[in-house]
Amino acid sequence: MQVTIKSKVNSKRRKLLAGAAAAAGLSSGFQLIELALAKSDDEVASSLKRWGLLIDTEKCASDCDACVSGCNSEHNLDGFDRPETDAQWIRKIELTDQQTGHVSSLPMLCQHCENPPCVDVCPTGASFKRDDGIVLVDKHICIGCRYCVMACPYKARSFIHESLHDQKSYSPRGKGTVESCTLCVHRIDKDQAPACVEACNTQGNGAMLFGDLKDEGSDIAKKIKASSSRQVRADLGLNTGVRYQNL
Amino acid sequence: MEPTEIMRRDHMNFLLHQRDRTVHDGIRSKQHSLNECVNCHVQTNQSGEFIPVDAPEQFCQACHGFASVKLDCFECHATTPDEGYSALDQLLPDGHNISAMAFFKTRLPHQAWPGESLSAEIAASPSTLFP
Amino acid sequence: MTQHFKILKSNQPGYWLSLLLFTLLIVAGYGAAHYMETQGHWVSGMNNQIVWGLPHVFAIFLILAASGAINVASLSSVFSKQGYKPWARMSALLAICLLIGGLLVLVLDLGRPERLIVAMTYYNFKSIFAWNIFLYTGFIFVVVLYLWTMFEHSMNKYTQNAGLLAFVWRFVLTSGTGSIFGFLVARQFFDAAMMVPIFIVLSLVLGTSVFILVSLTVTRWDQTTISEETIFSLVRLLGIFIAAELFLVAVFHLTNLYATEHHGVERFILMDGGRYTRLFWLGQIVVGGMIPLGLIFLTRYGNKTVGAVVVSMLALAGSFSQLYVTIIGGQAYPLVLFPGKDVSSSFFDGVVAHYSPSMPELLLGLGGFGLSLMLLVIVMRVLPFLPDIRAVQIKS
Repeated sequence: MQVTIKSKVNSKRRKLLAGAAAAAGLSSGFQLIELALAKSDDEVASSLKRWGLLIDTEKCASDCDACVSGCNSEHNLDGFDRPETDAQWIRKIELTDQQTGHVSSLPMLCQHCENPPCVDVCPTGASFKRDDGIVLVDKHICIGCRYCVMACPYKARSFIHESLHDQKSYSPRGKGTVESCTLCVHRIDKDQAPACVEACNTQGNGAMLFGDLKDEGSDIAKKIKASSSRQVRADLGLNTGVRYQNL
Repeated sequence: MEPTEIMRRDHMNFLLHQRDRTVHDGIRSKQHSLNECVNCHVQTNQSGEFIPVDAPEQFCQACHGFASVKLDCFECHATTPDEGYSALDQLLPDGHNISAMAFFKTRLPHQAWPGESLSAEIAASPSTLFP
Repeated sequence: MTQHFKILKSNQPGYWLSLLLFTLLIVAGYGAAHYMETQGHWVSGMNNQIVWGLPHVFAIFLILAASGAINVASLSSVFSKQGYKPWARMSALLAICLLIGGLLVLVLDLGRPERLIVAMTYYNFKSIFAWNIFLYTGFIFVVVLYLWTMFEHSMNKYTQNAGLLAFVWRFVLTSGTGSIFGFLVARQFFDAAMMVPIFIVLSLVLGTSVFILVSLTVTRWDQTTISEETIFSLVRLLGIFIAAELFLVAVFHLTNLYATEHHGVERFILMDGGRYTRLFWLGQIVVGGMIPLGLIFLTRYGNKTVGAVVVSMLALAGSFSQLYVTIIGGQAYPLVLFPGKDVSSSFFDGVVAHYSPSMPELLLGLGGFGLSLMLLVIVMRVLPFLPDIRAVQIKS
């Protein structure tokens, strides 16, 4: 009889445990699927994704440059106090309408175009577009000719004019090569958002949204579909990955 | 990371191949990663600060100086691990760990270990590192 | 009546002084390049707004002069103007030397000149720059082939064919050089198909002027003569080329002015640009265009040797100004990202970019010049490029 009672209690406990285990198993199974979807170290960047940004210029304030400081500290972009030659990956532009006098502000960075002029003109192919849409410079084969700097309609590229030290291990940069915003590719490959977006969300006004433009369920894709946004210099037909709202 | 004899002769080929995989394909596996080389082979000075791995008398120059082959990697790549990284923590999390063997092997015979006091301890009783 | 050729031999003080000058320029140029490479480009006047500066003006100057210099040879081989035939060899050699000088300036100004081998092994064929690497090196091979047909007696029958190949190649090369700028959609001053014909005619102006000056100088050193007929027909040709260039420049600016979109950049170049406006009107149009045209066609000055020298130098100065205005002025004018809005930023948006040429850049450019001319003299000292005109005259 003791055995029966025990077994009854045991069976209830067992069911409970079984139920809990099943739930745990399912949830960890989902987690595993999520992890599987997340890019592992050995996985190749895929053209099934296209990373992009949506920037709401209404929320962007003239006196805020959280995105710029976020980027500078992430990549150690501290300059040499020589603004004409110091590198700048993202900058704030202040716009004043010539007719109405309305003032607005927005961040300008590499637009990660689908048809990048910088990639077209690079003689060695150092300037290239990764399969998931990020436009990068392969500094191993960059010869420093600066043709891409001339070609970029957004003035997104910078040439490094002096010897650099104290680089971050995930952001190599050196004298004599050209660089620009990498969309924090090292963070994206670890499923984090770019430093500028994170800074804007934590210290700024939350004007920047990052995500996979090809994923119809992502926040950015839904927002782009729902509200109007535009590219800067859309007339060039570059199909930029960075779009602006309320411009 | 490959056996020493292979590394000595072919490390450049591994790096040349890996750099394209990382930059163009986003493959960031650690086996042939330059950052991982730096993380293991970098040394610290007496104050515990990292010494640039390509400085004279450090790991790279031990061979490159003799072979008279100029290093180009560190024009762009970081010569020390990022702030907050501690090789010792990595390899000796609880004071004695089998991966200390790996740490041993990354030192060249004439190189000192980081931290004089540790050296003294090891000199006194090396077996504390290998339980 | 066969033409005899001889090597350049001179004891004139001008000859030795020139060699000294070329050597000094080469040494200074190399020193400047080394300085810029080790320190980084912050020591030059170039910056993130004006990435191509004085060295590039010099380099394109030399490259265009190279493709134009071979024109004299082309006139004899392709257009059968026999009067230029004695000078075909030197014309081809001058083209090669000028090209080498120009290319060297370009390569030494790269951020990573030691990666030239990368530029020659990794190619992106959508880039006109990549094509230009083939066009430039190919040009040297084609012209060497052309020279071989002229030097090797048994190959003389192929000279016309080789000359035609060189002629066509040089046109493609100059079009490629013009396309470097013409293909840049971002820059208001550049995105025009007109860049190609403008550069082609500019190369004819440059090449002819350099050839006149070089041929007058070497014949003076060697105390041979170049026939007056040859020189003055070249001077008249130069006049025609200058007139054609003025016409093309006028068409370029007038068509630009027609489109309101380009009014900003046109206003900048033609009126508001300060240094660029002065260089355009005074340098390019007046000194490089109107004055030489007047001298050549309206006075007898064009028929004197001194006149030939003056006109050539004016044309060179005008062409240099034109390249400066095109390359640097075109970069100085800000990119228009937001039409209808005034912009400002920490990265010099919306403002005319600032550029002051620095000494290392100037020395590098002049070094390229010095190298071209030094190379010319050395080769002419060793191989018979100089037509022995006196021998011909005595025979006839």
